[in-house]
Amino acid sequence: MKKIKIVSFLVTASALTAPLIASAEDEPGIYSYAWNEPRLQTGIGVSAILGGGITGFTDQTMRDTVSSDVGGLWNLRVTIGSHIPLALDLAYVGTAANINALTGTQTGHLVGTTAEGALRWNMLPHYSVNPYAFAGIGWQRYDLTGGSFTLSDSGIRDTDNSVVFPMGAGVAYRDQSGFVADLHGTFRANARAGLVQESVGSDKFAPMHTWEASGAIGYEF
Amino acid sequence: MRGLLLFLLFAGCGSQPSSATITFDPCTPTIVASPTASADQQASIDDAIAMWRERGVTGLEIGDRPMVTIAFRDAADAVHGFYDDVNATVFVNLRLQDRAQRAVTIAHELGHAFGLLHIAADVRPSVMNTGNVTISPTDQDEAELATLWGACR
Repeated sequence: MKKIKIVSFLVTASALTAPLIASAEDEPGIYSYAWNEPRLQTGIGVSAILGGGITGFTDQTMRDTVSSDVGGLWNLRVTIGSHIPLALDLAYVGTAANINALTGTQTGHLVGTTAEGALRWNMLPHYSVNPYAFAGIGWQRYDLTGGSFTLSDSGIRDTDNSVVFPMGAGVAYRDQSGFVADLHGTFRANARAGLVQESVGSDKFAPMHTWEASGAIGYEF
Repeated sequence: MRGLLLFLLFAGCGSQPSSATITFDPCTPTIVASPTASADQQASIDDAIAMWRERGVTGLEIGDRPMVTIAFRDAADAVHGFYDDVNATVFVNLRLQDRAQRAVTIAHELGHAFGLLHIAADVRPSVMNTGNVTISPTDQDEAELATLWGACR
């Protein structure tokens, strides 16, 4: 009878612990480059984060055109594959800066809108802290807003559309609840700037490459 | 429906006002002055007035009690001039060092004071082209002014 009880206990214990042991074995290790993440609902990790930060132009003419070297930005980024080695980042980035205008009654704002996609290499895709690097392509539009510029002689066009090539690196922290915090640095190369004259009367336009430092929080599943 | 769409399209652009708030008849006396102008800046103002006089504008005069004030301020290189149509003041960028470029900029802003709006460079060359610092008032600018106010002579 005692032997039966012991066997019964062992069978029960092994039945209870077996799934846990199997689960632990299935979970990728910290340095794993496995292409699935069993702990997440999607199996690969899909995150959506919302944040803000600072941005600026790298070119002196553009920096001179806006009233401050550093402007504000806000962004929304969706990452498909946040827990596998290679992910797709889809992002919207908005920026705003004041124009260095002639007088207080002349107000102008440079409003930027960027939609971009990037391939992202997750260096530690299965660890809670994941450094990553990315590069991609996007569309960027700038609009000069502010009615007073309609009565201004300036080398600034009303609007500009161009192709941009974002590239950079960041680090994401993810916990088991699905919370995501992200720090991100981007250099955005602008392929065809056509907004601000390079110099007075010039038919060339100032380069519009930008840098960005941003932080964001969100959720992944 | 199509009409509504066209209305919404153009209403959304909104970049060109129908006219400035304060405008001046180019044929009636309009006193222009810049109390703080340097000799070089004053020379550009004189040149700008001469450009419009060549196009039949008879009203522009230099005087002590300005109806249109010309002021010089610092701004980004890309911002050449601005007509403040509420205070009837022409602002010109201090950084414009070339006398001829400064004169064309002042002529452009005086064009706004006469009620002229921007003309896209691909439509025709005009003193009212955006970013213009080289084209003085043209025959067509004169004709447009005459359409607005009638010919002065």
